[in-house]
Amino acid sequence: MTALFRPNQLVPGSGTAVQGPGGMGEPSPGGTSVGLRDLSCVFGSVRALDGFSIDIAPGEFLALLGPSGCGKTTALRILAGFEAPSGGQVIVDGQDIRSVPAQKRNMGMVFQSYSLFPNMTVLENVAFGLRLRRVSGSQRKTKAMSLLDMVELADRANRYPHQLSGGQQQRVALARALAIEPRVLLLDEPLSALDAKVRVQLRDQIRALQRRLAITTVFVTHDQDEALSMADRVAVMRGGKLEQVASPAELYDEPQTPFVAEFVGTMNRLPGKLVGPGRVAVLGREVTARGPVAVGNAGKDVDVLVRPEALALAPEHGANGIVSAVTFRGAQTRVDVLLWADMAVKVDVPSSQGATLAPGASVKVTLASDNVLVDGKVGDISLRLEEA
Amino acid sequence: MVPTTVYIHLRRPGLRRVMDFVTSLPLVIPPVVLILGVLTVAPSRLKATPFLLALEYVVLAVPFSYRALDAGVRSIDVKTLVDASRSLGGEWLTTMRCVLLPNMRVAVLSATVLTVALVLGEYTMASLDQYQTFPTWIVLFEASNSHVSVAASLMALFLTWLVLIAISLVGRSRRQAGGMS
Repeated sequence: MTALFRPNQLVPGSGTAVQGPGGMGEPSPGGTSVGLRDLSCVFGSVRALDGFSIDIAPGEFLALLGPSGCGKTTALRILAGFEAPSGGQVIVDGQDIRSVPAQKRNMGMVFQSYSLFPNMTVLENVAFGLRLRRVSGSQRKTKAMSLLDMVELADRANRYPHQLSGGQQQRVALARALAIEPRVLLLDEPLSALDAKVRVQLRDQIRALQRRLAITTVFVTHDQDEALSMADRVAVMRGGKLEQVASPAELYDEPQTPFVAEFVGTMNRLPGKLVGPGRVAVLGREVTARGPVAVGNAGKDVDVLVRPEALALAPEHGANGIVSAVTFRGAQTRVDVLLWADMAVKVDVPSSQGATLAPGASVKVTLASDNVLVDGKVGDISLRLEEA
Repeated sequence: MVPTTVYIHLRRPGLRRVMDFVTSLPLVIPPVVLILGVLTVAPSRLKATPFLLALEYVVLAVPFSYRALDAGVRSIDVKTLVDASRSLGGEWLTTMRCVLLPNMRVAVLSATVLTVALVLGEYTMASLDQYQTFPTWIVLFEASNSHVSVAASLMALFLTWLVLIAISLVGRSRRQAGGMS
């Protein structure tokens, strides 16, 4: 491989940095900071974004995660300049860029659908942005080839997009986006059209490149595995609003809202009862809330959210659960249990234990961890609880 | 016509049906009605000139050219290509010239040939506008020398065929090179 460049490095062999096309220039040394402040966006009667705010640190890889229609792509397109917000600010390196058109923002973007220009070869595609920046022919070719080398497609330089596989096309699109040395790299579900194996390969490749280039990156996805495995921080969105932004581990272990808890990873919803100030009873045990609990809510029914790995089960005749399915998943086995004959829960157990279970077996399901969350049938209370 | 078609697809997709209807009107309204209406309101200095006839032919060719271009636009992902070009720094003109037009080459050629073929055979408007075109010339010449008239008609027919074959070949090479339909 040829030497890699950083976004703020010189074009190899040129002695000059790539300049933005008459608008925002080259990236700031150390990366570009991005702030979306109180963004709102309305399409007819649909409010795609509703007071969405987030700050992205220079060089950070942020994933916008959420279900379809939650506004994540709209936020990305507003940042790219393809959509105009109804309200709010788009701050890049301290400047509000709402009035800067997309072609002058110097942001590289990789799209969900294959966006390579069909009339151009791979090399011409990668060099297109450089051509618009009036980089000389030889420098264009040198840099485009180095980028193609970086995505391991230098040998396909003279092919046309239709002669490449989907994964290869997205790698070329990535090289093309990086060629202009963008201030921010925007990835709009670039892996969703690829098959599972290629998706995992490209996911690793994108993450590795982003780390090496230290380029501020915003990645839109509805796939939690992608978001959790790639991003420095994950922002979970719902209904045009930010639910929670946190590191992947924090998001999984300490979700702030029931929606985040259930959207990220698998979550069981069990019936519980507030038994006193800050305490809840679930599966025959009492656990204590770490957060504030309204004293007057004692005796109220609540939903308690528990991860499959926070439950334990043991074979016991006539106990509270019946095994309905057993799914081998490598080191762990996912056991589906029908609790109290009417409630389906999922329990993760070591595969050594899972091998001893069969559908129809009677088991006792217990709470094995203090990491549970209460959902509010008690007003707006959402609390994390710990074992008493 | 190309910018209009692209604009409708990108920014005003809701207007497609309106455009379909509007661009069908020249097919529905007989040319004789069109030309008589135009001759009634056109300035006298424009009458019997190629300029007025050219404007009339633009209207007459709209149904064919629009549909050919519309099919071309539908065959590519215009929105993504435009967004990709803009994100790389492409202004609208650059995007049109470097990205959209090359990918609509066959559609543009088809629209052109359809227009040429239409104009080559159009008699009513040229005759009523009293401007001599190829069809009116053939009719006039037929009285004095019918052999030449038939030969000219056949030549026009073969020429049109040759152009259509050329477009077909261009389209095929385009598909082989760029993978576009």
